[in-house]
Amino acid sequence: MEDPKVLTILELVQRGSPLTATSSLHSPPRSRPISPKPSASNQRPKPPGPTPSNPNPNPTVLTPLNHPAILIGTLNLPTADSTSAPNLNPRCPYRTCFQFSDTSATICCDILDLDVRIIGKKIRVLAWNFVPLKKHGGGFLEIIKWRFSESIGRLGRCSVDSFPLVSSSESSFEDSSKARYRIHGALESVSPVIVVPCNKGLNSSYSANLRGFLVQFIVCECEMCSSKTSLMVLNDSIIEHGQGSGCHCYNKPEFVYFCGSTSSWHPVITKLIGNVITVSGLKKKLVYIGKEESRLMYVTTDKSALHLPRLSKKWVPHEKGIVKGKGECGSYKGVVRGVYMQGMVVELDDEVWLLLTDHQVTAPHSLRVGALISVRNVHFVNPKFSWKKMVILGACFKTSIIVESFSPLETGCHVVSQSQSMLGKFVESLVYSARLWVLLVVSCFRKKFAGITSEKEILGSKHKEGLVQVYATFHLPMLVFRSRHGVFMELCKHDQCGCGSELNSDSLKLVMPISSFIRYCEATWTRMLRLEKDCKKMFEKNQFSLLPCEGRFYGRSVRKILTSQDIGIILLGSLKISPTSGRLQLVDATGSIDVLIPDLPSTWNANSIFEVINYSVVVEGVPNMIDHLGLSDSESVSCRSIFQCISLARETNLAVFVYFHFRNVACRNIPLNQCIDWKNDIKKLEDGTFHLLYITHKFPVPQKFSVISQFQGDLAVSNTSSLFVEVLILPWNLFLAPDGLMNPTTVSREQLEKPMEHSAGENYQECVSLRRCNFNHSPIRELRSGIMYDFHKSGCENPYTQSRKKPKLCNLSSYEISCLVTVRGVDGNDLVTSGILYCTRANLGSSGGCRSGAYKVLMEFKSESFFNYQLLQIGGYYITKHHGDDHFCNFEDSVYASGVKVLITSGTHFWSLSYASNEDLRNSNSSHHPILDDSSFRNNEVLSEDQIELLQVSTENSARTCLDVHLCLPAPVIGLLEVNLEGLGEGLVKPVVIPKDISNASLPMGSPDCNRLFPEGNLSSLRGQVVAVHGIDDSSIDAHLSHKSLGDVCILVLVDDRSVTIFGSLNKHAFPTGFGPGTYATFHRILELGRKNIFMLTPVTFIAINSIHVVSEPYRDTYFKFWPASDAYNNASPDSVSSGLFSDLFQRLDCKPMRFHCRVVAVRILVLEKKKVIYDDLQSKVLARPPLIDIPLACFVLDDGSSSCCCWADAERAATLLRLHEKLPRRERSGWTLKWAGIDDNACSTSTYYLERIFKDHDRITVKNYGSMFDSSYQELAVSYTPDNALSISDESLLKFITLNASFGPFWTVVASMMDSSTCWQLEKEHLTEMEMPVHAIPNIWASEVCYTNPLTDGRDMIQELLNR
Amino acid sequence: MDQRHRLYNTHVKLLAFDILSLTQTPSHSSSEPISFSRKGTLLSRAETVGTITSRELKPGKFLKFAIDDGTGCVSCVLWLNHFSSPYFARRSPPDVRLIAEAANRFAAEIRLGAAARVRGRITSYRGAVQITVSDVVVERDPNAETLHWLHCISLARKCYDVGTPNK
Repeated sequence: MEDPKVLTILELVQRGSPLTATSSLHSPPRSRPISPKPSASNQRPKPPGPTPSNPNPNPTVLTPLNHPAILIGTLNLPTADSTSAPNLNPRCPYRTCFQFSDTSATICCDILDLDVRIIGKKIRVLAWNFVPLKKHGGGFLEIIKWRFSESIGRLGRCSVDSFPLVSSSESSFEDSSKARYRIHGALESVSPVIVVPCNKGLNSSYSANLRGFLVQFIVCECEMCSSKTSLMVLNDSIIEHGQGSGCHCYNKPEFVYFCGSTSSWHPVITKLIGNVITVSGLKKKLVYIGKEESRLMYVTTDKSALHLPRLSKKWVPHEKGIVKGKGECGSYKGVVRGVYMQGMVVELDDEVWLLLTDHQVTAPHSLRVGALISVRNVHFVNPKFSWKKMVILGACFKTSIIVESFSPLETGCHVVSQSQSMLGKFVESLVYSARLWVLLVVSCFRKKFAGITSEKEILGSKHKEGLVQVYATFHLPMLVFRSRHGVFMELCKHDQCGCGSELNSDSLKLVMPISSFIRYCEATWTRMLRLEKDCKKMFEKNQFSLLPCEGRFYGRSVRKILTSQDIGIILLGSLKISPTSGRLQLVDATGSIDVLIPDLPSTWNANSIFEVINYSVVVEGVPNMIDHLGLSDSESVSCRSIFQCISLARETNLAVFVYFHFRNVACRNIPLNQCIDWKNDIKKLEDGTFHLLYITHKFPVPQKFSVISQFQGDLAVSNTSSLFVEVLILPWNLFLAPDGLMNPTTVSREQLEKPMEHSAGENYQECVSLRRCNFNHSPIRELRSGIMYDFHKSGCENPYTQSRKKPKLCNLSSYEISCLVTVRGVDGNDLVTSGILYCTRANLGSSGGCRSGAYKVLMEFKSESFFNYQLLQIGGYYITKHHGDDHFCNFEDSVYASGVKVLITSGTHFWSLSYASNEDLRNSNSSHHPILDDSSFRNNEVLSEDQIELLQVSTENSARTCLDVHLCLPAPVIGLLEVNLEGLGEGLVKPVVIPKDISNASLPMGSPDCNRLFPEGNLSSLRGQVVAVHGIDDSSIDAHLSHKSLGDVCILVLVDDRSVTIFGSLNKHAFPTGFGPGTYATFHRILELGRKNIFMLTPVTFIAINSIHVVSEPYRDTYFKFWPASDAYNNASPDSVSSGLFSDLFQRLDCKPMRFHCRVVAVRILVLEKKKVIYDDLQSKVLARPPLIDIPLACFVLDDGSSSCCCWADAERAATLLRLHEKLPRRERSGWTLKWAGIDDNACSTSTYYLERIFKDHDRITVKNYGSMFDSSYQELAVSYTPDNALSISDESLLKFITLNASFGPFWTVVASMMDSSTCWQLEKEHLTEMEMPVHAIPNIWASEVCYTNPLTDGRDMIQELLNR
Repeated sequence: MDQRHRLYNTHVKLLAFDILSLTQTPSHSSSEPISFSRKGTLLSRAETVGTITSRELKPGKFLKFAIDDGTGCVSCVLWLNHFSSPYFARRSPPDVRLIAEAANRFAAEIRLGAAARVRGRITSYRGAVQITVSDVVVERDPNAETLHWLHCISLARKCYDVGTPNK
């Protein structure tokens, strides 16, 4: 072996790179393995491989030197002066590290398996790691293997080594008579080194800060231990008596105060924890442990010496029982997987978190990622957070950390800063679970507000509370705070100080960066699906299914709703409209998430930070994407991901959005953004004149904003364009009186009713006559763009239109309606004031009548006012402030002009408005004012439990909804507004169409004519439950209905139990947040195609979500079936389907599905078709490729032992019965594989694969059986195909083989229903007559579900059934 | 369908003791010289599940094996003479090869000690009932055998023993 090179420390430091020199370890003698040795303790250390927790995800192994290298130097105690070399770690703040000095320099070091004899001796370091300390300069040496440079003489017979704690040169002339005590016992715990300001009483001139630390021994009280017999005798006796097993009982705690120069022994004593040692030369002294409390303890003197038996044995403390995680003290050994927050948080193994938050408690430099450490006297806490299971190891002043094996990885040291901020003190004052929580908040806030505010704002400084502390103080209950008593007190009275006492902290909810939150939701969704074990099943399901419109589900998405109660996470962020997608989002610096807020007030501030505690998250995606997500459970909510400063790129295509009510949202007064004062918002609705608007339509976000909204999230858009809303400016203005608005008053019913009667009274008659007049005489006039509504009343005069000045209360014309106005406040402080509705468009017409009209206007929103667009809802009333010369009243000259466009700026505010008559109010049983009533809406649809409530305000009965402004009108005039709208009649799109009527009634336009070039029809609106959204495939049985011209996406909607189909183009239409199966949605302005309940999305179609509920599994195919609609809803779900025998079918007349256990005997007919792929890049990105082959129809002969029956099936069911997903038997496979060169035999071995190859040249292949229907091996199969390209013999054989193979299959569980005779007849006529196949008098069934039989569960069921008989 | 023939084309699931005790009646039909009945109901096909206890292969001719389901031992014959049998002569060679390959695969799967599910026609050989095998599935789940017993009991109760024609 080549001679080792001697390096100097200076060389290493100057080199400045981490390296290892462990080549000597490979030599055989007495080598010590570097890898962590599994200890006898219960922890199984993981190999310190690359840990995902490290900020550097793949830490490399320390660079080994390519030649043997040793260091020669001296190991010293921390304060021992290095004789010659300069200390290169002058700023190592701990001053508790071993020092290694050679001729060139001194650095901090750590050593494995300390031999105390080494101290002060010259050693040769044979194997070591060097890690540079970046912050403090210099470096850190990890000594793995060493030997004495010179031989230190033979060991005497003495079995005990003695070491004076103070070298003779240092020792002062202290009275040695006092130092006569000796302590012998097990070393239990060591406190951190602390500095006590000290005045030595006798010599007052000498004052110094006294460094020192406390050591707790557990001593035996037996005679021998407490006697003054010589150490040797004592040790011998211990050894002889079997290590104290019998005669020694270590149970009495004693403290020894190592102070002064003996404090430099801290690293040595720490390493001796658990050993039985003796310290002699001690004196007894009263030591103040608190301000007023003192305790008699042993104190080291200059004569003190440490005595270690050569054959030391570890002291095993008595059993502590099961650790329940309530703060018990214990030891833990594990591998460091991550060090975060400047070393305050250390992750060990999996979700074990070591908290080193007390600034006095320091970890050794060698605590690096990858090291195996042993933590002594640490508190075990199970925090019971609702969001994550974990174990916290809370370090207190008793805790010591010993590195048992150095990390072989190139990971840096952390040096905890010794200065203490306000936040640090705050953290120290908490129980452990709360400490971790605060640290998580710190980490989260730093990410969330990065770039928004400074670190100093977030963390605070020595004298100022930061954002985190403000936030945490608000959330933490008083119980988590505990008072601290100082090191001595907490060590001596450890249990009384409540150290480690814990409380249930399940109320502490996690704050998460939004990007991590999205990731978490996606992972949870994945896990939920995995847990349900329905992934595979659904994957298969997604490939085929028959729909009435002949579409195939290319991938039905699965929607899961998680509630905040379950996940225990708080969302923090600001609400913004995405400039790219036009959607409302909750935003922080890490990302954004779509939100749905049904009661978003018009006054929200985009700059406020909102805290959302109660919410639901909807995660939706296609199950077969799971395999591509690459999410593992460990990534779910990991504190690791929060502590790490890695921004996780969102790679998955799951749609995630959050749903919550604005009224549950807290707006924290975070000093980041000056939160708006809510009172001001109400003030914004000042007195004055307001225009009354009615939203007739919102034009959807142009397609370039969000192409594939459901799955792709935001797509970058370069140019933001405008959004448009069509609005009617009603011929009424609202004037709000200045009184009341400034002074909040509580509302009582009496108050509400009284003034109204009073003020409205005088106008009643007029108004009533107005209306009557209208009904009797006035025709509805339609003008080009504006629709006029006539009031026949002479002598009308409107002060507003004439003077354009604020009307005065006293100067009102007779077209005024007094009303009571209630303005919603944020915290229930509603304001009540009086208002006047007056007619605006009163022109003196030629007939002398008063004409009042509503104008249709297009409002244009630029990106800065997108939030206004977001707030407006179709069918809603709004008011907006009239400014002297605003756009809403400049139509005098252009009343009849079309295409009036009004640009809405961000300064324009809209307040939603509702109205009701005072009679309604009187009649209602509710004691609340309607707008204060939260249970605002009852949906008439039957809602499932999973329902997420109503999302949008209702536009039908606005009186009971929760809006900004509520008008209480006199009953007789309430009709005016409504009639006004009715009168607008044809200018507006008709409300919800009930498709029942369509099917029967003759339609005015758009008679079904497939030959038309463009689809024609009326625009209409409908509301219903979205059942499915899927792509259209034109491989259809019913070929005459080709919908391809109508678009490529088909939306199935249930309206009043009727199925309606809406076609559209995926790349032409954006769907709103939350759209998907299970939502109740209103489709505004869709084209009635006038046949078979078919509609079409147009470029102006706006889809509004009414409510959402979970579809935990795809809608059953039974919704869409082969036979008439009336039976569809009788179908029981498969779980409740009863088992039956085929022989029972002879007696049955109903079509209820039954479950059969059977096998395939023969195949009667099999039709295979090539599937036309209509999706190109979009689908291939989102979904796994569906098979290219479709099975429109197949008929199998099944046998269950009681009888045979003909089972018809299609798509996936047929594929399953054909065993297309199974691998071909190897022998057959090899036969065919040979014929196609270059096939990867392993990858492509299912029948499907081979079939797809055949279908390269063929569109449709039919296999028919002319042989036996009852004997699998006597089938005679014939193959026919189109186009007429000859099928090779081998291909034909393969097809026949696949068909035959179906008959040799396993037991199936088939859910099927009897087919009615007409359907059977039709099918047989269509497919089987020409075959002259014998028609057998056996029942015909239609398979709705096919799966393998589970012999165990089926056997159990059957035995139960047999026993119950 | 008259009651006597209601199970004629069905693969009845009977326990071995039941199969072995079927009534054999000489018949006038040339294709099936002997007809089998149970409690008056005519049977022609059966399915059984059990352990293969014997195996005797005559390559190119047949595989004779016994299947034991715990209640008895049914002997089975799997014909492997597709290329020499006149029955297959009229069919196209590729089809015959396909069926022959399937039969050979079944034969390879019949191993002593394996649990197999066998379907076939009920025939008679030297006076003893045997099964002329149509197809074989090797069962890997031991529960399959138990499930088969339960099916046998259940079917007997619900179907085979119900409405049996009086002799």
